[in-house]
Amino acid sequence: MDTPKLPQPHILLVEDDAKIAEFVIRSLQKSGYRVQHETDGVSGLKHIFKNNYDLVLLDVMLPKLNGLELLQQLRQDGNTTPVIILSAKVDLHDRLTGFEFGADDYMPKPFFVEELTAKIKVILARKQNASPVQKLRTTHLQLDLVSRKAQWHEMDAILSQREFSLLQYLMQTPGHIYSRQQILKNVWDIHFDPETNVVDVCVQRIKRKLSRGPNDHYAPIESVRGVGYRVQAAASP
Amino acid sequence: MNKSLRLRLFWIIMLLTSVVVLSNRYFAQYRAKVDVYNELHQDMQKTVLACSHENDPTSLGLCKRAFFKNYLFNRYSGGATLCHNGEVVEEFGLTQDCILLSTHPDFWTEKDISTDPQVQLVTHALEDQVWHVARMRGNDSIQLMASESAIQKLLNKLWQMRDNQLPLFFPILFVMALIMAAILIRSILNPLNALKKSLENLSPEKSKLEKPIQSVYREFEPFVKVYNDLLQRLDASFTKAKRFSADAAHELRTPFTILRGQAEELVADAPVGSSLQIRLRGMADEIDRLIGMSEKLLLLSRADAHAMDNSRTEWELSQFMNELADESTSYHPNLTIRKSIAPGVTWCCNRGLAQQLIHNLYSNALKYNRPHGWLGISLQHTDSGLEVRFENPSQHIPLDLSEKAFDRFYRGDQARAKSIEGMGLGLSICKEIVDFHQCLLVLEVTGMSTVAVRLTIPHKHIMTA
Repeated sequence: MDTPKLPQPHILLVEDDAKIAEFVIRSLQKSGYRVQHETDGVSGLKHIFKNNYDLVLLDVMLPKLNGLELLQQLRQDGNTTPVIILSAKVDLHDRLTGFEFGADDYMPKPFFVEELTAKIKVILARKQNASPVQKLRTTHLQLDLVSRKAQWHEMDAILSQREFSLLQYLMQTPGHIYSRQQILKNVWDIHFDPETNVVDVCVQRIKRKLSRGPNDHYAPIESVRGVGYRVQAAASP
Repeated sequence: MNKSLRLRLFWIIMLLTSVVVLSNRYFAQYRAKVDVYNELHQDMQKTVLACSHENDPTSLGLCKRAFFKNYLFNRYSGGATLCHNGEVVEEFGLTQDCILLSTHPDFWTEKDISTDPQVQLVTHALEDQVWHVARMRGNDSIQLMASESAIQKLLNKLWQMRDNQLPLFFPILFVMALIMAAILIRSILNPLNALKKSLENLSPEKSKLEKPIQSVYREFEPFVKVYNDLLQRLDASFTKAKRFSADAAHELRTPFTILRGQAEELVADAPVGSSLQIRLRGMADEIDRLIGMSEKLLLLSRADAHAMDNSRTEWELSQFMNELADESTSYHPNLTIRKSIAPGVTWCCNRGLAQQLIHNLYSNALKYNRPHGWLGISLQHTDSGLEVRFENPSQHIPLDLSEKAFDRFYRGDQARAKSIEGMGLGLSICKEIVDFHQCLLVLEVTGMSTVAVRLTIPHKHIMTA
């Protein structure tokens, strides 16, 4: 992948629920981030002013100081540290309020931590003024984000809009298995159970388009039976 | 259609007016008749007394003057005779009747109805005629007789004169009754209108009155009190429901975040493709299902509490429906897609809810389709608004589908429903979203084998490029 190498970005998580904080921290650390955790708004604000964080993950309903008030004070003070709000309030009105207060993104609960990681990546890349990613790559699979062409070994394929989006989504974290629900949400923008098998059909189509012949048993997308789909991190032949 | 209280009151008032007018007519007629006979008898007694005081009974000057002066009879009515010793002295239309008195002495055997002890006054029926006759008690030289038929003739003349006024009187009476009805209806409905006005300002969003409803009339006080109490309870109930949906959202989503996060973490950590990973994935999927169900129930509870997100944005409906049609063409090759989508339509709506609505309708049309069936997707302008229509052939359509499809947890044919995922909330959620957007949703079964769902969006919420 063309992701620029970042020197262990430092993230502050302000979240009063210890169990949420626990798995978010674990996941972010696995993805290579340094994470500090604060449990209330006042100490969160104090630490933001004291330390130089690359990004803040902020819950809204916090003890002592509400997440939105914290954000307001932060922005009024001229602090531009990117902030992603994590909130159980999912209405458009709540999200707009978050953005009005100066949030960079808004993650409604319950969220997929992979989606959170992807958002963090994008925001940090934007912060670093990194040039936009042109191509996503694994060992033998390449996806050109400009021409929207996929290449598997020597095999080129033109993908439909939905197939392209699905492959792009899976290639953001090669090796990670995404469930149908996650794919529907991120590729189809469907935030509810549509009770259809479009994901499976779409994956089959990508596989067919990238197939090197009738005897080719290797495909860039692996179906992990009963689990979901993933793009292999280091693909075989 | 409900009956109109105004109309009912009008008819009651008109009926009562008619009853009063008619009763008054017949009662007055009866009383007038009684009074006329009393007057007649008084006059007859006065005349007989005047005649008895005559010094010269042969000239009968005073007697005749009394007959003309006091007597009710005149040349218009006729029917009275003054007799002296069996001879007619004066008469109004009767000449030979004095003989009757001498030839029928049984006249004076009738009951005396005179109020003067000196005068004898009786009524006697003779040959289809009723006679009223008077004389001085013990002196029958002066006798006075009157025919009842003549009196009746006079009265009939009066009633006829009165009835001749009816064509003029009835319109006046009708107009007066109308005015009276209008005034009465207004007086009766005014307090109710005042209540209605106060209650019209109420809505689930504003269930609390700025000040309690006041009654002008004490008769309405218990009614108003009940209303005010009811409103207080309603307001408390709405407040509780709103608080519940807000609290439930937070209280449910937090543990769901933990559950989902930890489950996904476990799935990722388990050996790839292992039975442990499959089991964990199954568990994570069930958590997702649980999240989906709770979101649906939460949406319904917010709809019940009228606490749905009221943010509106412009959403390109034509584009979305075209995507659905293309997707069904692409991913459901066994189905024939019949598409008719008006271009450039934008709907001012809550995008998330509207998308869920359209997608639910679309998913149902796919789920309940026949193998190798067809799917009709259309978006057309009609007189009543913009019509979104999904149509599909189906099997085993329940007879009560049209009426019950929007009921919560309704799953139609149970045997078939088991093979199709879902909990029977999809269409009830659609209905709530539709009501929230002030649209209309109708499900029709056509030709016993086709189901059509029609969503009508009012023109005011639609923009066309």
